[in-house]
Amino acid sequence: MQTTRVRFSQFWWYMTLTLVSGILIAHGLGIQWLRVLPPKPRFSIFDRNYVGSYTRGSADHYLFRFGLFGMGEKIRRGDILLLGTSHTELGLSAAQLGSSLITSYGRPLRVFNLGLERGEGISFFRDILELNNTRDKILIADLYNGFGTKVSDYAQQARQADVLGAYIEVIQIWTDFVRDWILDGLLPHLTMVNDPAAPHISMTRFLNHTVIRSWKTGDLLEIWTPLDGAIYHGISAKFSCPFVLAQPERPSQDYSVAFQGAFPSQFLSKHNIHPVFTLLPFPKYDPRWASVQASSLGYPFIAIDPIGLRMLNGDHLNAEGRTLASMHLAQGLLAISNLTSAVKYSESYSDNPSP
Amino acid sequence: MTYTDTFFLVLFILMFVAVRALNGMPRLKETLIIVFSCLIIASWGLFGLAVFLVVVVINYISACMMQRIGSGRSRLLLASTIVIDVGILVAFKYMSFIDVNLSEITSIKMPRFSLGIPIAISFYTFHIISYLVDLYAGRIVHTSFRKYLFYLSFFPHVIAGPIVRAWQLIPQIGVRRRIRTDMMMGLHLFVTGFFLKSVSADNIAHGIDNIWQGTASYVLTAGDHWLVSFLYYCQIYADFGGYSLMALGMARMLGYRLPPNFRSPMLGASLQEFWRRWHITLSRWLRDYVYFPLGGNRQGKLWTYFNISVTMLLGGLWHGAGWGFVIWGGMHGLGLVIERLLGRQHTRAFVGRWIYWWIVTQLWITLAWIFFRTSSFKEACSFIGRMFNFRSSQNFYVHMQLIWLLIFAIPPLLHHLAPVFLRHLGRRRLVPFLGITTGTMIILSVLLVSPTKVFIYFKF
Repeated sequence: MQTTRVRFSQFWWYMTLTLVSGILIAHGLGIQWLRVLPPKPRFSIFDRNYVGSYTRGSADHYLFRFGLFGMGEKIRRGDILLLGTSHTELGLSAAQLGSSLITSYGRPLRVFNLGLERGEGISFFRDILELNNTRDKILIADLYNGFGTKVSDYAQQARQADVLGAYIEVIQIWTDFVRDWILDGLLPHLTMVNDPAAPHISMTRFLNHTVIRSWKTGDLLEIWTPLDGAIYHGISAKFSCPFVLAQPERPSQDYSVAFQGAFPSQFLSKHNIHPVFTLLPFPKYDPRWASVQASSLGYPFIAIDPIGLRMLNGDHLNAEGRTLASMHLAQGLLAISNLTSAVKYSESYSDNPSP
Repeated sequence: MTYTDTFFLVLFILMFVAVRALNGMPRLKETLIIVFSCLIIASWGLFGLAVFLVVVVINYISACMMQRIGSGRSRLLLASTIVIDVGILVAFKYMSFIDVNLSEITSIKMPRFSLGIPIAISFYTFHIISYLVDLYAGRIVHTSFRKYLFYLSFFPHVIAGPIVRAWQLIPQIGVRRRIRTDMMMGLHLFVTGFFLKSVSADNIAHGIDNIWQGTASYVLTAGDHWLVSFLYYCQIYADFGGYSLMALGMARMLGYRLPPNFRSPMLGASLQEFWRRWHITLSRWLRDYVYFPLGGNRQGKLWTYFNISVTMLLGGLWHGAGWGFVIWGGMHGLGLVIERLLGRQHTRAFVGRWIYWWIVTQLWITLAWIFFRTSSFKEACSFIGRMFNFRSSQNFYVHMQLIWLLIFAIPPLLHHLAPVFLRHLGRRRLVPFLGITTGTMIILSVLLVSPTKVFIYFKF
């Protein structure tokens, strides 16, 4: 009997020994390579920050649509909501706008950034506003042409999910991040590169492209990439280039039609929502077209001066560019006289919510 | 939630700890497992859980009534409950297929359900039918609702099998037992299944999915087509076989035994042998609840062939609403009939003959997989046509990208030889060997990048 017990316990000994040996060998083989890599991002789960997007997909789509983990409350309590694609996500700061508008209205305005990656379509934002029972708001919408009638595959998946599924999906995205955060730097990740000329095994990092956002404002805090590390704050010249205007290109899709389809005027008036349009600069942007689109709907348009803006890549602003763009937007908002009453109404509503 | 997801693994570890802690309180332990199983079903949609619970309640009430009424009426009740169960399955899974095909020949429109196919409906429908039939036949004793729900919802098998009979699982419920090897073997089976799925199946799928979708970046030769179909055979084995091993492993770690689903199917030298090795619990279910009730082989040769064909066609259709699945089942049915005509089903062949029939059988199975995988009959025929296009010598060429994928086919192939190898290893060296292989597979699963793919059989 004793012999049998010893024999079974051998399983655990041999397994542990193999595991430890495997970890040591892999670490030893990868250490030279792992040592030169940029540091990993801050651990951002249930902190003031959260992981908005990771390998598996976008947590933001579920968080915003279903108002998970208190996100719905933040959307409901916001005075101003920023809507748009990754251009808005990277190019506007809700925190800065809120503090810029503080002096004019007596208290800091609550601004929340709902910008979503993958060129998210306008109808998905209607879902977010409706499901979170949003009222009495100013919507600032970026007129980037990716922002049309269609929605992304992330939005389609979020639409198919129910609340439980949404919670599970978000937690899965975060669990994957935690797993990779723990293993990153400790072991190399081996990829089979199916190169037609010479297939081979190459080393990669466990951590992948990560988007970190603020719980409080939805603002983008950092974009982290495996080979360049944190790139959003433009420490490297590679990710801080001046804005260069290319030949303007008008989108094939009529934005005003898409916006009216998602937000008919009855809906906006019923929920006391006041849209304001802007267009964040990108190389092929055409502010005149955007202005025409806004005026055809009868909503104000705030132009952003592109001079001095710094870009992260071809299409998106970096943190420095965002500061300037948000300043221009705040100035534009202050200049819109008829907006004052809307914001004041919103403010009084937020402070004294009706039953 | 897929069983290879990190979040699931975390939940399973917590579940395992809780089950161990509650080992002295079987009722509480099993209630916890039921709640966890329902959470797993609900993770695929609350609607799926609602359908599951409705079906379970209907069947349980029917089973209770069958116990109280006379034999003649209970037969009627059994038949009507099976009609309801199959009707629900057809309504959710096949209505769209029926509608599309009916509209081709008539103007009749069938109602469609936009909510999609509830997760695991094919599997639990078979479970509940087998329970009712076994109860009616007196093979099992009616049990409490808690045990019934445990039997049907037990998460290792609920989504994609193995198809467990009531007599296999219900007697294990409420029993306090501790077998020292359960944890060791359970972990080994789970890790082996995980490795086969995440490293082999997912990487093969990543490499050949674009070919099935017709979006390959290069022109495929006949040699490529042969290799792709072989790789798919390896992928589906690693995927489904891997899932089944994970299910067995999880159940065993929690103190329950489930029947095995695979036994080296690629070594089958006849289709009959293949079906004794591939998806064993399904083929046994089809034998016991379709083939035998149809009359089996007791009504003459012609009826036997008819019964085999019908059983295999239904088996194909059970996999999914598509002609590809029906043809796949039909090919297996036809193959089984031909084997009977040739008198091959009971013969023990010499090595040379065995190799010959092994090649013929496995080629037939590989061709059948093409219908299973492609989205249309036309596409499958075109794929097979290109497999046999050897008009130019260039068609013998095989692209390096595909040859490279054979690395991921090695684990499922080696797994086929494991029983032979373990038999020769001897008892003394078995435990250290299992420890080393388990450790190696864990470390490789962590180190190798694997694209996340849902289990193929989760769709069925």
